[in-house]
Amino acid sequence: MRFYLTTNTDNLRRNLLPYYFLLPAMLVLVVIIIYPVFSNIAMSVYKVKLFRGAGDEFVGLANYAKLLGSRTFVNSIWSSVRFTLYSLPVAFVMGLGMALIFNEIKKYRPVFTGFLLVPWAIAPVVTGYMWRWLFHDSFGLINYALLSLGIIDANIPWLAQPDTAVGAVVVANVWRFMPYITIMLLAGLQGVSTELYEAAHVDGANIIERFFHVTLPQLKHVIGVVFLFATIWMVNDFALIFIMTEGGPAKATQVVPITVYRIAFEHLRLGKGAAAALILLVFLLSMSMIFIRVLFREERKKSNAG
Amino acid sequence: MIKILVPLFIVLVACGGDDGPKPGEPTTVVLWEFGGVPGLRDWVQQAVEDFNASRTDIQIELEFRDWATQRESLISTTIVGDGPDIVRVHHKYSVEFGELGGLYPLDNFPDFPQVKERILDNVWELVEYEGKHYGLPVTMLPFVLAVNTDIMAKKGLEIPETWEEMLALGPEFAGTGVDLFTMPGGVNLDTAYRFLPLLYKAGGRVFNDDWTKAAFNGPAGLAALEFLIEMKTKAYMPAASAAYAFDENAAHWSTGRAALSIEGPWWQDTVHGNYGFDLKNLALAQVPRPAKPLEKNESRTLLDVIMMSITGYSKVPNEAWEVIKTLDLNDPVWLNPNPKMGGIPTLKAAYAEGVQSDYVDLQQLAEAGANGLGWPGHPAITQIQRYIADAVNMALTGTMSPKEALDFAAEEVNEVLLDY
Repeated sequence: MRFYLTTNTDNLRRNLLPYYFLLPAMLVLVVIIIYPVFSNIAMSVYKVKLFRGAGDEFVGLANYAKLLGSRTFVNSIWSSVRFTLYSLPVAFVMGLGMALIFNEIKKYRPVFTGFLLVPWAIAPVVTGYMWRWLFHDSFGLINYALLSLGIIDANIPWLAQPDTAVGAVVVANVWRFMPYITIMLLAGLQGVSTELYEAAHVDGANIIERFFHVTLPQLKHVIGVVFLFATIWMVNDFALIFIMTEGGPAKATQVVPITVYRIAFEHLRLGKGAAAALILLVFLLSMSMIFIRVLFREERKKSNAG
Repeated sequence: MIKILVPLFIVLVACGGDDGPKPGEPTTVVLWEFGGVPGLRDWVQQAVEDFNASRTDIQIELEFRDWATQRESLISTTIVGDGPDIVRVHHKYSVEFGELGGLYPLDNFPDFPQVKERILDNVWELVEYEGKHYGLPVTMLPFVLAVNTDIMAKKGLEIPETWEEMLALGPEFAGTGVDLFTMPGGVNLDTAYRFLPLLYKAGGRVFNDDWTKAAFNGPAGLAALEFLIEMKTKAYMPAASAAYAFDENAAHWSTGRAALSIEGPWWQDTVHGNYGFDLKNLALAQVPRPAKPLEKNESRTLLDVIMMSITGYSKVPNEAWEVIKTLDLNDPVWLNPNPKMGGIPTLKAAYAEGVQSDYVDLQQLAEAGANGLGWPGHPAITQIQRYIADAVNMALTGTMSPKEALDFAAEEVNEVLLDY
């Protein structure tokens, strides 16, 4: 009996051991993710009074109702969607093109890849300032180049008109994101078996057919991951746009993170800011779920069939 | 267990609260300097060193902080109830943090009436809230018209005194590559700071008399914004001004691309120091006003004040007051208005006959300072400034008409006012 008990305790210890090792990581997760998220949810149903010592006032869903009824907030959701929808396809097509070119370069590829990473490695604040001055109406290099080439006959106030300002932040964002997309796709391309290309070649497929029937299907998962991360990062982007336009002109580039910042830290409406941040979180989670479902649809079908 | 508890106890003791100086030790006064301009920083550094060398009873611990972070710093230190003893900050925080107990009323000091007597009368209202004064106004920043006299002289033009005169000068500039007027009109508070002098000049105010409703969307505000829009649509000011922040506007004006801008005492040092602008081509004048007043209030200009405040949680307010008086009241630097200090002094003695100064047109600045009116001392003023800036930007980009933009901002401001 004693022997039995000892064996049982040993087994229990052995079974629990992995969880002990996981404990520190779980603790960190609780402290830096779970607690802030729940704290944010709680804050979003209060009118938070920072200083008055009168205590916070419970307002239920009023913060959410106010936000969804606010023209500024709804416009900022549209600005975020527009910014992502304009930036992502352009950055993806250019990144894919670059990845295909880099995949063909055999010599000095690491050197070129290193240079390619520079825009991605630069801090968004620096990128923002750089592009702000490049697009400056009278001192900017872009107007200077266009004037010199005779393409325009007067300076364009890029950042002072809503449409051109959106274009300007999209250009800067594409410049920053393209290297990340290129590197990810390049890594994917290097994993594509050459035998598949040879087989397609033997079957008489030309270069375009090989691209659409071999390269793209093989990159499907990498493309999915790239789209997922890029969407999350672009929708969450704050620094680049804030430095370039501060959300202007006329709120044309005021994306949700800028609105959250203004509500929470400029206006000190922490409850309303928390509600806005949660709406953004729900939006991003929904997008992620859709991506993940589409991405792993076939695997799910296969496993169901099996 | 002892192995854990003993070091923990030592750490806790080491981190324990400071109960103040021990007998015979000097009292430390912590000063957070939010002063932005290099000249002021250099002076403060030297003044603190001199003070510390000359005193054995009080020592100043100086820390430079970014001008843009003063509100965040005050918020966090006020919540925690710990931080510096003295701060050099913008006057608008006297109300917001005075109300919250974050600043110490100077009226508590017995010699305050004598100190008050030495400072220009009109600046005290800017640091006052419910009869108490939460800062010593040290420098003032009245808004005036900065003029490039070289451009004006080449065209044979006089400095305009009214909006009508200013608009009449426009045709001389249209299509020449030089703008009549420029301003930072982007989505930043500088935009609100250029609109407000025009509003005040036209007799308008930010709020109604009992501060229950926005009033900047009244006839004066509407006329001021329409005046700006007319200059923009007639190409008398740069099309890109709707994206300009302070630096871009300064670069535009300093490089001879515009003749007029609404600025203040910082302008001389900014354009000369940063862009090498020849100061013999700079003149200052009063901000133009409409030919006829549009509202019942007196025509004034906008005035900002930088104040030295003692924090509400300071354990050594008397020593802090001593430091403030030595550095910011009795130091001779405040007797001679100096362009490198970021603003003109508030001491009456600085404007006595025979006082020497390197300021261009000091008289214009002094006149504007004496006539100046600050932003209303409302706890939510930063948020209100943001709404006004947004309205001006909306109108400048043509997204809304001036009336729509101002009414929309007024609605948002009224909602804010309901909370107070």
